[in-house]
Amino acid sequence: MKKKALWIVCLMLILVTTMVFAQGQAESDKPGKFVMWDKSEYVSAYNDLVKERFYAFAEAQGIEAEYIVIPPNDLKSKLLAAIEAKNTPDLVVTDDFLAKQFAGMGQLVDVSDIKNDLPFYDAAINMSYVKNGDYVVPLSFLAPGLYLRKDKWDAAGLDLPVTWEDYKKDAYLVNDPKNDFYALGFPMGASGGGDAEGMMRAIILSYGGALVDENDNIVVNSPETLEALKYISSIYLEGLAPPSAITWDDMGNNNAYLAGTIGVAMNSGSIYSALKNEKPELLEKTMIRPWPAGPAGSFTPSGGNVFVVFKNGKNSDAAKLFIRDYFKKDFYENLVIEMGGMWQPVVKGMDQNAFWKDPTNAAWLASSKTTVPNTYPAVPDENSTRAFSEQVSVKAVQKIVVNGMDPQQALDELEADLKRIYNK
Amino acid sequence: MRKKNKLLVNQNEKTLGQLLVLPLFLLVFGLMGYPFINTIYISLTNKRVGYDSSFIGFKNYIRLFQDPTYWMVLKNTFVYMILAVGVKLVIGMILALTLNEDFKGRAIVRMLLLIPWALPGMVAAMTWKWMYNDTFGIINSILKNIGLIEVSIPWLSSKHLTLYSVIIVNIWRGIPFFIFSLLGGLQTIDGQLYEAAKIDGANMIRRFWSITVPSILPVISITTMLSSIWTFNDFENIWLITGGGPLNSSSVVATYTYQIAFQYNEMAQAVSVAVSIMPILIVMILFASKRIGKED
Repeated sequence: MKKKALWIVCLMLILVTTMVFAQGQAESDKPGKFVMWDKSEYVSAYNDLVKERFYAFAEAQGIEAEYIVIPPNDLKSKLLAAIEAKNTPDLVVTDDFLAKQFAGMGQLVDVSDIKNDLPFYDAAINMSYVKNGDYVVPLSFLAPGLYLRKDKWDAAGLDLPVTWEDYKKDAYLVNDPKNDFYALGFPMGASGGGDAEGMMRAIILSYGGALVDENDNIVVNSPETLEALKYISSIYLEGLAPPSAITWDDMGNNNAYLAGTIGVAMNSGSIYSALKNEKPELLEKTMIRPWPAGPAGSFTPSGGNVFVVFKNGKNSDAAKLFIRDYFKKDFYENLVIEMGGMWQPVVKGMDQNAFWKDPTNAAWLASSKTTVPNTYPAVPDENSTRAFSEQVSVKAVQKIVVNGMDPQQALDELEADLKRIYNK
Repeated sequence: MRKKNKLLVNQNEKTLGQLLVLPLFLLVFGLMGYPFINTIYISLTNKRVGYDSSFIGFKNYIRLFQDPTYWMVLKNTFVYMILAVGVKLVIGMILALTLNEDFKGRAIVRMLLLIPWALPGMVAAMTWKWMYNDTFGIINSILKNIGLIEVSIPWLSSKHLTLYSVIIVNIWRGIPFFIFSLLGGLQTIDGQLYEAAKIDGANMIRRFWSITVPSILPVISITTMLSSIWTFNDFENIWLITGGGPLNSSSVVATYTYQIAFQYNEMAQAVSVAVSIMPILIVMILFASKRIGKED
């Protein structure tokens, strides 16, 4: 009896183990699904068009494929989990600063062949540049603009503001919190998106400061950066922006502007696109302006969307082929236009359509070529992009506004954060 | 001889039992024991995703216990749990007592009260986030219309309010669990006990404390304990509404762990946060298991 039972148990264990290993072997022998992770875009038509193209490509190649849409704020955490599980997708569309972080971590496939073959603009090459090699393919520019409620400024009898200080001065007259209207919709939430940190960097640069210089020296603790911190925190402390702006994610200013509750918003063409389609009456009251200047000039740090191919994926070749297919004129040109001015093309020869002759769209197009990288003047590498995605300067402002911290102490802590990231 | 045979048979049965349990033991070890041991090991390393790690002893814990944010988050977690569970118990009890009475439309009321629990967490969180909005949210709008406030209340951006704002949502979502658990208990109480107490002159409050509460005490304690464990580990509600912000003022252990792991890519440090609260959770789970065991 005992022996019989022992044999049965042993046989069961052997059987189960064999099945598990056989299954594992079979799985590893297969080429595997071609998996693409894409950002969920503000313009929903984008994901539908890419999905259709992706599956058509996979069918033509005779490979099994899966297209997955992921909210931008969740992309980093999901990719980190996928890297840890050694189950990364083959191809990912993401923000350039996030892609550069993964490039620095050595997780990506070299894409210099694509970058050499396709006629990218110099600005696109600069936008996708990362210190340790060619790992990032530019996909689209996301040139930012400043949306201003011209009707509110006119009603207050004000000239159009030019400098950051002008905006603050005007805000006292435009602000009307009792009627739920705030003059300045400057985002300052640490949600993981890039809007707030991008704006903070622009203000610091405009005041003559910087976080890290081109030689990786941490230069943040300067009187210029301190002035910039004081300026931006005063906007929230004096109630010139909605209190919730301190927690907004990248959609916060879009929603507030479209709801008609703020006078100024800084964003890519996403607001313009929504205004044109959903709120033409608000678009008539809106003026798109260049980014404000400070004592040291005007800086418009910006980035874009990029492709990256993960080295642990099983279909790197297919991923590269799909990138080339994506940039074919019949698809790419229309796709960018479908985004309604929110995206600008990174490849030459895709901006000849009548769409780009429209003055507003032409302005977006021109703006896309004159921005500076988000991490400027620091060279884009793992550390600088990590500092950007950790939103270190946004957190410094939050400390002043939420915790009532002295600006110099917040600046000291910002410097300490950068030293932690740069291991200095 | 017969006695010896009997002993042998007993021994055989024991061994057979052990052998039959072995696959289950291996399965449980593989699914729970190994990850648990691995988690503790990771907390003793400098693991970051995408990089090799090395053993660093208790450095993560030392850094953690010296970090004021960790203590703030731990305090938030306890405030969140105690306040949310306490209010859910009180309101749940009042509503359960009401639903235990006969009245017209009781079935519809019961069904409506289930809605907060039945709604997907994502939908509930987004709806509340919208309602709390300081410029176009309905809560501020109502408060203004009835003249209670002049300027909107920053429900999700004031460090003094955010934690309480998410506690309200947790209470709203969790009350149905208390109502229906307690209602189940109330329906098992013999009505004659109340009749007898009434004849003896016991008033409503006395009847509640002397009959109702002792009769459903096991249900109260199990419901409270289970809800405490779930509330202690709540992530979705807070993450979707405030993301733990601003500056961790509404962070609890679950959101803080996620933030360190996936926003800062400090995996080992994040794991050490999770491991540091294990003793508290183990005590709670043991207490709940013991109670449930007694009930069985």
